[in-house]
Amino acid sequence: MSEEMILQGCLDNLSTAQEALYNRFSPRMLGVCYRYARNKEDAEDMLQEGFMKVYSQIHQYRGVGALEGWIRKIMVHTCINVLKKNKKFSDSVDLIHASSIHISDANIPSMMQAKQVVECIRLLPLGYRTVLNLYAIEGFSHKEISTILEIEESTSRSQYTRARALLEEILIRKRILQKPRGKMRIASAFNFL
Amino acid sequence: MSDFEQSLRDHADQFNMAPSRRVWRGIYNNLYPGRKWPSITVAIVFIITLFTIGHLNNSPRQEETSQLSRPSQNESIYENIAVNNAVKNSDEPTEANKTNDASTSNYPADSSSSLEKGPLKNSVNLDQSVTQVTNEKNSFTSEKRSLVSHAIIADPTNLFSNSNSFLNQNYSIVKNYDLSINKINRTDLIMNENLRRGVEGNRIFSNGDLMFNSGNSIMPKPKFSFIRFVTKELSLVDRSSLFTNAAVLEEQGNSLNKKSKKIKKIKWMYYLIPSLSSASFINRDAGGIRSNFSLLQNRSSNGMMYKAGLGLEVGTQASYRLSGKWDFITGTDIRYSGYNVISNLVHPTFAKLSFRDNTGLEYSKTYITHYGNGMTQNQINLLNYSLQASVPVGFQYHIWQDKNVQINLLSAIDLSAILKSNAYIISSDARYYVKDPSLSRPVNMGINFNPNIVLSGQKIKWHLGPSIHYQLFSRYKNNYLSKEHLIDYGIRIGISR
Repeated sequence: MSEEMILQGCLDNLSTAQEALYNRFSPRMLGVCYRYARNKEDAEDMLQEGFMKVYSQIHQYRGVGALEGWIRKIMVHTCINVLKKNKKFSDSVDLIHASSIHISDANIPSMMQAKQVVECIRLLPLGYRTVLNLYAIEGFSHKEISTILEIEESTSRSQYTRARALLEEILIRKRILQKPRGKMRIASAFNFL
Repeated sequence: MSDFEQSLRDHADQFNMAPSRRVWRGIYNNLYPGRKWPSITVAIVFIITLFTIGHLNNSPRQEETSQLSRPSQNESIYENIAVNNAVKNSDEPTEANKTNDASTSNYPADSSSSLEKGPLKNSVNLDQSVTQVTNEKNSFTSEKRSLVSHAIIADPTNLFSNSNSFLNQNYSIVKNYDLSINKINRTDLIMNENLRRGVEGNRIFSNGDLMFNSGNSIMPKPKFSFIRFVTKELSLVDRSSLFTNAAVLEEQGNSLNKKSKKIKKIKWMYYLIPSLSSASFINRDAGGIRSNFSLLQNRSSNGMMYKAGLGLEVGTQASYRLSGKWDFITGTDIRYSGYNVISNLVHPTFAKLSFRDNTGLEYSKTYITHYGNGMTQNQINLLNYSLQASVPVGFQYHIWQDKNVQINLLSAIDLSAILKSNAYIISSDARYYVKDPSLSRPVNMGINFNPNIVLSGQKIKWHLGPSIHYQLFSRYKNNYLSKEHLIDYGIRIGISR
């Protein structure tokens, strides 16, 4: 079934088309949700809620851009809303004060597996992880992030800086990322790992 | 955007996971609330239909059986043919002469004494049953046994000439088949007034055999056949009329006979099982897997202090006869089982539970609780229970069977939906209990083992025997590290017709 047919079927409220849409995009979207959620069960709850929004708002999709991108946007916003609703995000965004993190431009080896990267991202505290996900992976600007998360733009920047540094440390510890030549300082807050 | 971020994005975009089936089910149920749980609905409808059909089909049959076993004087009953007596009487016509003149309405009161003392249960109730007539050419010896339970429409010409000739005669057997007399033309069969008049002046043996008086000698009239009744209305049958209806009778008899066979195959039983419930524990902690179980008060492998509680199960069971020894078993039941956790009250404090997600990562949840894992003066019992509806499916093997006693071995597997449950779970440090019913698994499976003895009473059958039920999956969801399986030991008390 082509994407146009699926889209038309969903507009006509056909269950077969809705299931086809779900089967096509749910694995990728669950991967998105999983980066924001605490565990797979939470991610699946987010996915379910997100798809409900997709089906109810499918008529708003005007064909501009890929359908997957549009669904992904809905999923990300759903995840953020769930985190906000559960107050998990606000509780943990300022857990770590890593003021002296050295930022390097180390490259991730090409053989690195996607799953390993995602698992490393999930090791970050929820607040860091959320900002990192939104900025580095989803491509939101700090201004947009500040609006979405209802925080200061500067806070978003600093959170991202710390998140990235921490992630690098994790990747190095997991031997996924090669250690840069310069001396790397380990964040004091990193001891929690 | 730096290389790091670009690389991060590329890898993150490649990542995908397969969602579990419950996600789509949840979406579908939200999108189409009317179609919620279609499979469960179909299953329930199926069970109700099965129950209704079984019940409706079973009731008349039972009623019939009970009537057959309790003949009343007002009922028209085919006598259990006493072949020996018939033969004997045919050789002793003087005995026949001793009887009253032919009275077509009354069977002699003392007839029972001269009748073969065959079991009345072999009689056929004309109000409830009908006879399938077959015209068979059989020798007496080969049919002697069946004659005992059959009414005979014999050609009276040779009936009393001598026993041997009688034995070799063509005769028609009104077999003991179930067929409602109301469904055939009863008048045609038995109440022919012309025939009744033709009987006048003839004689009836004390055992009910009708003799036709021809002058001084007993000469049966070849025109008529007869059926012997233990009835107030001894009715004659015009043989031609009878055989005119034979085809109809046979057809109806066959159809109802098939139905009768079908009815026989499904039996219903209603039961309750008072039980003692406990649980077995398997603890998957860092120290490996540890398990233990005790019916009485004990401390589990994960440190939980508990004791058995009372449980109860009620249900209905349908058994379908597969062969002489095997029955297919299904039904539905509701089971309450649970055990008591021994706890003590403490000041509200935090307690943690450890979980492991599907990827193998461990995480914990924090709860506020005031239940401690200790034995002090503030001791209280916390009830860990579950109420579940089940659909068992299994087989029953008949080990031994007698007229009144039957010994069976039943084994079944059941699918249960947890209707309600309560869960007090021990914390990771084994110091507190936390309450989180959401961790209970919504659906479970179990196995049931039940050797039983069936005692046949006058009206009902009693099914008695020990019953053991073991829950196959843990009470809690997979992400909780400790596993707990409920076990019920009970006595099944069941009744059936």
